[in-house]
Amino acid sequence: MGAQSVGTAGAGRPYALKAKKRGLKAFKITAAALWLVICIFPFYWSIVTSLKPLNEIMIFSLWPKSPTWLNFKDAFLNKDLVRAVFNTVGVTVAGMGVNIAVSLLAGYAFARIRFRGGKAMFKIMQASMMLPFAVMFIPTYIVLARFPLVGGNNILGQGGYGFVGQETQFLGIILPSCVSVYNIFFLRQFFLTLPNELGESAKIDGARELRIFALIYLPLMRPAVATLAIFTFQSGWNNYFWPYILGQGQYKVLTIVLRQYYTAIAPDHGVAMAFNLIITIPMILFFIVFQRYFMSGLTAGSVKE
Amino acid sequence: MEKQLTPRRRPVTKMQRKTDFTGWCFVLPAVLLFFCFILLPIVISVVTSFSDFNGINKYEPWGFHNYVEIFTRDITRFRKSILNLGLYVVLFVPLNIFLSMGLALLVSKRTKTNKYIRMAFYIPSLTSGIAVASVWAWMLNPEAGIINIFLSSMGIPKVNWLNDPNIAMVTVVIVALWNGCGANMVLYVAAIQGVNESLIEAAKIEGAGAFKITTKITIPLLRPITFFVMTTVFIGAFQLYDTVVMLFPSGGPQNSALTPIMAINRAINDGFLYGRASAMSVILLLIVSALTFVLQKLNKETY
Repeated sequence: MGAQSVGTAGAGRPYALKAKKRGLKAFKITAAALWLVICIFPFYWSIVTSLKPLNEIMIFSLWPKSPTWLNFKDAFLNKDLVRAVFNTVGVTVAGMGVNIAVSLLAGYAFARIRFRGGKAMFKIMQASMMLPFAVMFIPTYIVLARFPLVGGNNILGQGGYGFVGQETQFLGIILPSCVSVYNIFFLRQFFLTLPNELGESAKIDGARELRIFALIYLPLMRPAVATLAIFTFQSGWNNYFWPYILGQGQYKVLTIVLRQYYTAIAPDHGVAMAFNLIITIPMILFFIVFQRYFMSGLTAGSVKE
Repeated sequence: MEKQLTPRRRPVTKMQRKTDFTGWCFVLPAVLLFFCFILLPIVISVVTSFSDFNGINKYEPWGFHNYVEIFTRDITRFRKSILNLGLYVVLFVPLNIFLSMGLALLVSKRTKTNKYIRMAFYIPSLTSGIAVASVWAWMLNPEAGIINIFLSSMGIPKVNWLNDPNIAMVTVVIVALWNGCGANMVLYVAAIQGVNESLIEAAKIEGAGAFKITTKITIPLLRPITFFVMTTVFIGAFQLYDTVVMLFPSGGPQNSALTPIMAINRAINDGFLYGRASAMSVILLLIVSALTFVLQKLNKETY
């Protein structure tokens, strides 16, 4: 009997292991499926809501009984939509262009040029890298409103509206996004990974620093720039806080227009959801096209630590 | 600029001078913008926090008056917002790390299916807080929202997601988790995939099961990434605004969802109290700096 039990134990162990493995796998699949549903459901629900006619919205059903495009029609007829797309893309691309150009130059110098004071300057910048915009948005507003010689201001920054006036506020929205210590840091790290010899040999040939930068190193920076551009575009498309604070909701970007549906006295959920999808779907398509850059860009940020 | 130079014996060569010039030319645009929109705002913040500045024409030094006011007659409920922030962090940080690490462990294997699942997991992180919260506000609607309908069909009493001061921050955390886990999962996946294969092979030979390998090898090796996630989540918490303002436009019932940014905004919108708002910014600045300092210290000690 003793021998028998030993025998079964010996034979049973692989079975037990297999069962355990199968159990683990089943658990994994269930958990992943559950989260998948949680991830997708809000999107599904906004599609369903946007396709429901007004009289169905408050009645619960998992799909529209008589689907209609009326909500989308209303959303597309919103006179602010075209203006908002134009504003959002314009402000984002302008800020992004300046930001990346400025960061490339600075990142290159901090990585490759051994100039006096450079290290100290970089340290000062780095110290501010972790500060959230939340701690300085009020004084940034003051700086922009009191900027000398702009928007009716005199040399001391008095008398006008600076960059927060009606005509100049788009510049006020762009300017703070023109510099990002994180981007400088990110590009500097990237420049450091490129081999030194490339520039050295060119220097012997008597090339100027700017030529070395533009002709030798810049082409190699394409993947890093693509990553930054994609993330900057994403955050620009989604940005709400700064355009709202600066323009008090007057400067129409997509998120501000979306929010207006909810600050209305009686929000029309169907149209609001349709508008929400109109601004969300382009971002999802953008992600699917560039997903390789998204994934590698996210991790590049953490590896630097 | 020259002052920062460490005392060096040998004289500065003409070559070095030229390099200095080139270097500063390269960084000049960045330095100017940095000065105007990062450094100067911080300085202005500190200076005006000791004054009765109203943003336009009043400017008298006020000593610590603004700070004293915040701690005694806190009219914009800034202290409440800091407490809310604390509650948010206490709930959000562990849940976020647990969820994003768990999800990453589920889908970290390099297969085609996993790649698509990971993409789907990331999609909630793509959209803006405003868009995210607009859907959730609708789903959490106390009467017609699908979540309460779902709960009551399971026999669970309805939850007053948007009007109960005890629930408000929980609601914010749920939405933030849905919005934020995808991005952190990507980080964890990369870290898990980077774990040395030979370590795992060796453990397998020693007879360790999948569970043991995960808990004893993989998770401890994820510590640096966890610190990174913690730091970004902590700092991100101070930015909390878009989703909250969408769910709780006026700070929620009894200010239970008021965030620091909303409190600062109140000081400006309700009374042009720029000095007060600056004082709040300075307090936030000190908290953030202390937090990042502690986190970095802890991170270094673990190595």
